[in-house]
Amino acid sequence: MTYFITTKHLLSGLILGLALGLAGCENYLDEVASKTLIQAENVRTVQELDILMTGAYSGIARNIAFGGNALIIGETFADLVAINNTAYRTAPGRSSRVYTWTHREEDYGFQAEFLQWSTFGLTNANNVLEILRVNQVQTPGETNPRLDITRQRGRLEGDARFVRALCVFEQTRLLAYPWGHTPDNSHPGPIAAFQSPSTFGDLAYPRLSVRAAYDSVLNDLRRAEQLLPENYDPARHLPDYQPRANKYAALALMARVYAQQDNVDSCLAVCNRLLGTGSGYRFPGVASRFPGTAV
Amino acid sequence: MGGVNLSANQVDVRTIPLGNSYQYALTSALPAYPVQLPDGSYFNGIANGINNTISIGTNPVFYRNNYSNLTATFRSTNTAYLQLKPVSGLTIRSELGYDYQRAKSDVLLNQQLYPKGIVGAERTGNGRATDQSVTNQTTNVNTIITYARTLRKNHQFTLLAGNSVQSTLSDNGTYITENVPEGAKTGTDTARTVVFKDQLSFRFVSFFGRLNYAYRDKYLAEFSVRTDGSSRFGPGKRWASFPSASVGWVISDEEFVKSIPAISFLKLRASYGLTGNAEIGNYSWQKVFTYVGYNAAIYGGSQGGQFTSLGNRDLSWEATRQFNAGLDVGLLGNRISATIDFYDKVSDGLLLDYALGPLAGTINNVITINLGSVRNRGIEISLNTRNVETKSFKWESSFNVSRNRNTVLSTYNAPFLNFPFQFINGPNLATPGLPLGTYYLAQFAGFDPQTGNELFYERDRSVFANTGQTVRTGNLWDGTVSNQAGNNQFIQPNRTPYPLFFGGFTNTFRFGPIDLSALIYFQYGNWIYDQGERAQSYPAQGQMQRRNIPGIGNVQNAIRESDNTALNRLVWTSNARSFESTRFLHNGSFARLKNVQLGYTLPVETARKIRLRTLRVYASAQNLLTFTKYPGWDPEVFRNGGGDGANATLGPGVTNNDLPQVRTLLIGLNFGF
Repeated sequence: MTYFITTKHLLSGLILGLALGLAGCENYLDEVASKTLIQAENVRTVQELDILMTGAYSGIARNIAFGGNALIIGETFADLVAINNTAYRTAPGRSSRVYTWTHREEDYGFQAEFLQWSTFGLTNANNVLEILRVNQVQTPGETNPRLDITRQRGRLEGDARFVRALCVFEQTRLLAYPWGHTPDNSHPGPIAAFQSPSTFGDLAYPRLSVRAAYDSVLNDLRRAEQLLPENYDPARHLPDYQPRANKYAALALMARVYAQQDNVDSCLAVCNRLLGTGSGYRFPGVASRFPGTAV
Repeated sequence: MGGVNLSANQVDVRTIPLGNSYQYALTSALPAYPVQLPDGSYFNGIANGINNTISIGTNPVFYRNNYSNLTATFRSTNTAYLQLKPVSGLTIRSELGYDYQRAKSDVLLNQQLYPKGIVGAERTGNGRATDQSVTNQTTNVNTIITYARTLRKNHQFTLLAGNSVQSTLSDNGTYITENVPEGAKTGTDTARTVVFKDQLSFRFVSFFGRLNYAYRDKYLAEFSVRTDGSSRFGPGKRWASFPSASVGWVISDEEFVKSIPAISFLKLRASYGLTGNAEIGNYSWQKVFTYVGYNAAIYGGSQGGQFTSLGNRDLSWEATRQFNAGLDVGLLGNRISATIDFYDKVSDGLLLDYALGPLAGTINNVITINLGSVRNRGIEISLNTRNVETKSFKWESSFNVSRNRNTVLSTYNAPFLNFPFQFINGPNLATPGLPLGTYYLAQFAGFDPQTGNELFYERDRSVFANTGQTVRTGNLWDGTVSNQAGNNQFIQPNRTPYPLFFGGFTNTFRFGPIDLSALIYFQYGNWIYDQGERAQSYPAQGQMQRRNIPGIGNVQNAIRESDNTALNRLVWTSNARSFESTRFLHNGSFARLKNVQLGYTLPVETARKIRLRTLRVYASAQNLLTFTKYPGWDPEVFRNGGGDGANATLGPGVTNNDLPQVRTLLIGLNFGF
């Protein structure tokens, strides 16, 4: 009798162990750790989001990325940032693995370089927006405003939308026929994606029309203008934010986009908003500056 | 019942940097160069004059004398098991395994080898020390329950159930320092020391069960199923089940066969089952970004991160379904035994790296996908015979031959593609309907009789763009003048790196105490692309020429005889030297005497007289003779010990001055006390 019970107990124990083992397996297979790689779905802090945003800016800030158009960084950031890339030409291997491995400058030229770097900005910006959208970062009880997601959320979203708008705008100028090339601007625009692909099938996204591209750029910039702070404030922001866009950068780029659309009225309106009500530097309206012209 | 097995060992290896140095003797360290100049300084070859870079090929002796590489490897393998037999027929066994491996390597390039201001220096140069440490820890826990029972004498059942958990944790770090003082092991310039430090892990969990049934050991059946989970796949895709079943019939146990004395054993068997493969890198399914030590993502003084890969949440196990049928035969008291096997296996959802191009916004620009399927169908025959068996003389033979036919069934296809995607890896491709690794090269069309320039066939671009077929237009292009290979490659049907059949034939003879055995290996129908021959067929700076060049013949004879037709075909830095063409594609069929061994074993009584239990003297030789029409160094191509990824699958027939198989002569003495 005793012998029978022992066997029964043993087998029950094994079956129970097996069942518990099965239940724990899914989590067990989750736990893959790395010291240098962060999984997007494991991003849990404001600092990690800022690492991604810094990466987004680093992608678009290379002077080589914009070729002659690198000026746009100067246009939008004024003297907030100095891009130090003097060593880049002489030792590309030190600055960029991608550059060394997949590209040769003489094969592709500045435009292709820009295209490539704009995709880094887009990938990071899209991921930041996706992480924010699902409220993946939660910081309950955080007393430091610089690390509190509820205080930083708007700023981070504004940052990401600004970078995305900049990348899509420059891609459009580079790849597409200009605004107005077709009456409804339905001609093919940038290759940019507005979501970060998660599967192979996601890569087959359709190419945006120029109209959709400009709409999205302006939409992102309007939101960025609302969300971005006026300036860097060490009490409210991590130092990472210091060299990035503020709401005036978003406005400046918005003016540039309107100018590219030949929408002079909107361009002037944005410029005036940028310069501030009552500023002596306000631009006069086109009609008063050029009487008799119909714009 | 239980047991423990512990082992540990340490090996220190000092490596001399001569990995491929004999190859450099064909390029940058030509044998005509002196090792040292009359003043005692080392001759550094031509490369050093250009940009102050030093490579091993410049002067291997100089390199060796100023370089050191010490690798210390420690490994400890430990297993323990506990086994219980609570009731008759029931066995419960648990095994625990722990494998610890640590490799530390210190590589030092001194100030002579790595001077100040060298191109590519992280910092200042003036000596460079690289300290690398890699630790791998693997833990295994297996539990297996077996229950065996015989019912009514003739029905034998064995039931097995178990699980296995494996976890591997890998730590690695590389530290580079520069400005290394004389005699020191590390440098003083430590401004950028951590180059890469990471910890990676992966895990596998498996559950498996098996039921065996045998009726009088004559009718056999087995059914098994296993479920495997891997951390290398995302949620919902981690687990896959692989069932299999097999049946066997020992016909020779039937009464109607027992009456045939010539048949001593006859068994028919068949099986069908699935197996899985998860051999991909870690994190392939995940969106991951990196930031540690990644200079490209620094902005405004802050370290940013950029994505290494966007991942693929659909990624899952590669599965192979295989049908197998076989026959085992033993005749004349098993003096003749043979096995015939037929197999048909289809691998689906092959785990492949798909190159996304440079616009993916990631560092690696690669997505790992389950893509395409491949069929392998073949037959394997082996025959063993004991030809002569007398007291003083024995002769046994063993022959085996295999035939495998491989076909790519599908690759990536999409509405926006005109034809299924063609994977191209160097001079090889994978495309539906053709074997893996079919050669894909510019098609050599001979030499221009007037100029001696190399001519190639032109491909019809519109046919190719619409169908993927490579068709000639009837025009030729001059490859000596310009390189147009990119748009004029042709699929080479029936030219693959894989043999149509291969096998071996072994004969063993024993005359009393003397034994002799010989193994001949053969393969037929494989094609080799010789990149080394291509490089050495065109005169260029710092480049040795081969004596025999395809289309030219013996160059020395051509020079001696002032054969201008041949010599016109040698064009200084011809454009054709930079692309692959069918001119250097060769049939690699061969037969080789792989191994011969002659031995003498001292009779036991005689050995005992000199207080030995056994004594044997032998001489053996490897790779003594080769029969082949392949003009290169060695038709048995092993590219630097085998490539990985697509190189291993598609390009095993590509050789580039790889080290030929070594001919070895060995004389040995075995004695036992």
